[in-house]
Amino acid sequence: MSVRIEFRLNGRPAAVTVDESLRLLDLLRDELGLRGAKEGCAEGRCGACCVLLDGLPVNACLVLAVQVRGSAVETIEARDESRLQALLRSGATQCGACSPGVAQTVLWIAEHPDVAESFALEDLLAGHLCRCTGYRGIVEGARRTIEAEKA
Amino acid sequence: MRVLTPASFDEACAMRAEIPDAVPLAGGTDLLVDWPTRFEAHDRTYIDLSKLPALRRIEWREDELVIGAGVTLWDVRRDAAIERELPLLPRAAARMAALQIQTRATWVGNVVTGSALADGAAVLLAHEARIALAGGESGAESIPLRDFYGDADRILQSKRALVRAIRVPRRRYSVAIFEKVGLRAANTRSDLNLTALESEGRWRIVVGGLTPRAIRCGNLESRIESRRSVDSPDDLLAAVRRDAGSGSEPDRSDASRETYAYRERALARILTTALSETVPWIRGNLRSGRA
Amino acid sequence: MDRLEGLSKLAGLERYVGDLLVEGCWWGATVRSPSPRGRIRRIRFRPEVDWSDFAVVDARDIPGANCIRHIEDDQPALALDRVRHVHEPVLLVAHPSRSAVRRAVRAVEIEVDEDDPVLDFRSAPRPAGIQHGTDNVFSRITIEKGDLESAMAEAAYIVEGVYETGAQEHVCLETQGMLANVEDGVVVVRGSMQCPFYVKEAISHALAKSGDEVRVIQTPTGGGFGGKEDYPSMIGVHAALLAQRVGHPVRMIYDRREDMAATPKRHPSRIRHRTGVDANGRLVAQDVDILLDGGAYTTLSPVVVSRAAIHATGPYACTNARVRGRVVLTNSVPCGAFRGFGGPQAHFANERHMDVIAASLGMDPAELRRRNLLRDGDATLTGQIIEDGTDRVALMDRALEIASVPEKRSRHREFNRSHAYLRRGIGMAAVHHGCGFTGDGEDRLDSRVEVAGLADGAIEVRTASTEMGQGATTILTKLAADRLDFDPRRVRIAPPDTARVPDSGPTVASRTAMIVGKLVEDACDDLRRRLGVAPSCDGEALAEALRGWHLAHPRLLPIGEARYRRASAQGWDASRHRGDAYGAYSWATQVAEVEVDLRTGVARVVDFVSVQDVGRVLDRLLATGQVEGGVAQSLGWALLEQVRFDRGAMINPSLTEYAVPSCRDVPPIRVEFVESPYAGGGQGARGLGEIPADGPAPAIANAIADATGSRPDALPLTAERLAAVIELVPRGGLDGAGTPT
Repeated sequence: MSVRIEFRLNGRPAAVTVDESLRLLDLLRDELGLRGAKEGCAEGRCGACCVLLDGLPVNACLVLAVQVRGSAVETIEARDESRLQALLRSGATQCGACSPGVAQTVLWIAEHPDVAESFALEDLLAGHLCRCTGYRGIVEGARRTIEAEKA
Repeated sequence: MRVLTPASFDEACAMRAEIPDAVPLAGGTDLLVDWPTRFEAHDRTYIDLSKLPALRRIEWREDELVIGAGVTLWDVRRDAAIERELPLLPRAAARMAALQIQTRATWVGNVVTGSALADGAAVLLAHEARIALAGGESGAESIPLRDFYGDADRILQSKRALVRAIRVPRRRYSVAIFEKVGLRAANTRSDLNLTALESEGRWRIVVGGLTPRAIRCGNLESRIESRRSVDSPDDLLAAVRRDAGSGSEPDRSDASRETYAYRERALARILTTALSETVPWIRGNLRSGRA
Repeated sequence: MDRLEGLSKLAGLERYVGDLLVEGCWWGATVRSPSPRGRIRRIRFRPEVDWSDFAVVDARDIPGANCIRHIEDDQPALALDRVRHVHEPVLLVAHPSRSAVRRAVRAVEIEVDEDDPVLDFRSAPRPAGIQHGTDNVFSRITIEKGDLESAMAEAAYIVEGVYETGAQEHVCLETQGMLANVEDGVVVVRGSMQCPFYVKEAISHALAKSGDEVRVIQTPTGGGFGGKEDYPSMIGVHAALLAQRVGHPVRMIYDRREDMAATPKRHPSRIRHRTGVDANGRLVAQDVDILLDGGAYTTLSPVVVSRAAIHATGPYACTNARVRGRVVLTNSVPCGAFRGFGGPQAHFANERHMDVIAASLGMDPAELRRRNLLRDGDATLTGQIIEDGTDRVALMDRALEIASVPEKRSRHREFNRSHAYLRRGIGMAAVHHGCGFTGDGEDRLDSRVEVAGLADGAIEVRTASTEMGQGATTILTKLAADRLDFDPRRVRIAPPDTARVPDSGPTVASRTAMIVGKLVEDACDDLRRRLGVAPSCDGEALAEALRGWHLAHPRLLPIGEARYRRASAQGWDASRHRGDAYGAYSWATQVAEVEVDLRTGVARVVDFVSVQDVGRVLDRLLATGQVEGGVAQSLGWALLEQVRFDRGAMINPSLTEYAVPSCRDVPPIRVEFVESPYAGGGQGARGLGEIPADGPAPAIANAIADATGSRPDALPLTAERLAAVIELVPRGGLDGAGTPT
């Protein structure tokens, strides 16, 4: 069945009609043209589909589109590229398939200093599987992003 | 497929009563796995509980902590009071999957699935939690988790009820251990997990990974409470075996016996070494004995 | 220079094949064999699907050869009547709706009259199990040097060992994907791949098309590691067949489960060493027997076993040796290319064995290596004289120094005495990796590169090299910009489109910076010649000459060309595997420090050092990233990644059940480069991509042996498997040969 849902997408009101079985990931990619979030595993293990839902990082492959009714969804497309420089310079990206998800989480951490202070950075990043970098570039890039945004 | 969106928990209970086949959906971190190819799941009716603020309450009562059905693993990790008083809850949550799952997965969901991947259920079992039901013919009801866990579907179906909350007794524990062995250091399901709590001489030990679902290990507890000395992990194996019964794996026939044997030995060793730090009659000496 | 496409990747703007918006695109999927071996008796299409809406393609619909040829012609694109492995492709279906296609695949029943499958590569097959040649051996190779048996008879010590490694799945974060369409009579295929010309060749062969009728374009590729070297030919042919049938674009994107279960893996291995050592610790006789599991079809297995054999005796002087290698058929998913390509298997066995030899002799493992490492002027197993400027002993010593091996050893002794259940150890591996294709392989590739001077004043570099995260785009840009004294922003890399670029060979074998990079430089030089400027002219003068050219020759581009010419004079005897195997080698010593939990068998790597000579380092950040990523993959292969098989198929094809390393599994990796330039490589570069994955597994296993006194000789050393290995150590420990004391 199809239903109409209203929600906030990247800070603006959005309204779509969706099949109730549609995942948030597929809504973003196939209906709304926001292809930064990617399907890496369909089981919430790799983090490549990470977006923010009501201000928290989630795997969009495990959320139904209808569940974002009345909620705020933020995707990597809304992020300012200037905030990605530290990740770039640290070698956080190689093939790029995990990168939008990683960038999403890193920026979120940088925006929440209380979280960054309460939990180990690697603990917060463990939901992103990367096969290319060995993670040093990602963790270092995350650290530098947090530092830069504290200032 | 239909997704019903109740405006309140009462309305959700009414929906559940009216449509017995309706599946409660909260975090979705279990129900939505491999969603695109699970066609049979697309033909069902779901009740979306994820937008009910009343369910996301964490409430401290005099003798118990009440965790609403919408409270996530991350909510508990962020709660300083829970960290102070019931530290195994955030400790277990921290080791379940990763951040993006923890922000969605609920404690109630973890318990209801009865899945082998449910570490949260194991920890709650050790705390002797109770399940608060609502709706259905019996109305509000409180059941010990140990009677609910593993039988959740049948109980909820037969009562046409929903889980409203989990009630965790407030106790001062002098020993609180949570250990987990997974496939890697983070973002992993359990191969083996151990929760051990001691309060006023009484032990509560729950093990996940030896059997298809986590089990309370009454024989291990008695063995330790007996104060008979434990000189090596071997000394605990008999009790472990009685608790685990035949020790069957859910699947994978050939590997299962070896895997079970490995896990029971690893468990005995972890428990012995962890307890030897605080329990005088337990010596964590791995060098003696075969285990 | 920042990675050129890096920001686009981080910002989610890079368009992989699954991201492309295509009007009127259909979805394709594959129906696969449920059986490991037998004859297809019947295919039943269940009636709950309205099949009239679907396109269905089977083997009889293939216009050309029903064959995906890598080396032999044994692997069909679609099984006709016999199947040889679970998940072998049998049918293709297409429909405008992706979910309809998914349901349709489930609604096809393939009934097979089963024969007994061959599932264990270690045992010789029964007569009824022979499915290839006379003995199921895809390829065998023998390399001999000196007089093995005499040398063995005179040796002071003989040390034996058997070492095993398991399969490994690539887990590229972007799964396999292709998009095919027929545009103006040309079959155009876009997708995730390492080798566009391989895919073009495969499609031409299967669809009976000539060169102009097939065009293949690589899209941004989310990881390769060899997993997109051979398999894209299969999925590319499938997509092309469907597109031709359907008359609309057809896209095939594998989900993670299919990707893990149905595509090639690293070859499992069993390698036996018997080594004669003299009284001074010199290896005088090396007898190695290599057995690889190739799966159901030949694919690239002959080259994998060849490389394994060539590297089997390690970076050591070798006077008397016999290396025998075989790769055999089993009824399992065919194995394929994976970073290292036989090297990791060979080095695991050899470097574990070096430590076993050292322990037998009561010698320090580094000292044993010091006495045997190739010096300039020494000959390799194949008789190639090494004289390349690398001081391999100094390189090893540098790694040991950075890793603080002696201090750590004494600290570990203290720690291990006092801790109730943790044990620490440190271990090393010295490895080498031949760069580029073996022997005359590069000659046969006959690689060509072009550099064009565009009308807008930019330079366009045209190669078939594909960016898959390793930094090819950035490096080739740098090489051209440096050679021409141009601003890199005025250098473009042409998309790897077979209609637009020459065939500079596949993006494999650690050949891109070295061989293709050199050709880019040569093509730049040729461009200068055509523009009539001096070889030493600066960028300004070149830009001026380019402007002049375009004024004089409107609509004609000046194109510099280069074609591969082998640097070395000495020949290669392929049948005996003697001579100069490679133009250049890279060298590395890697050191791992581990902590083992005796209670659970969990081993963690707490520190790692990698020192390598890969010639000139073209970009420090990119090169470091290659080392770090390669180490992480090898760590996963050693400790975490276990492909579980049932009837020759992977039964844990998910990221929950197959554990690649997380950020908490990989320690800080200390990377240092020694740079001995190779004149035949771009700016002096040698190969870099694979050598980081050659050494970590044996270094980690050696560290575990050091920590526990056990014999960790079979990968993966998962917690359960390592616990079993440690169980075998009685209270007094084992001696160096693995015998209880």
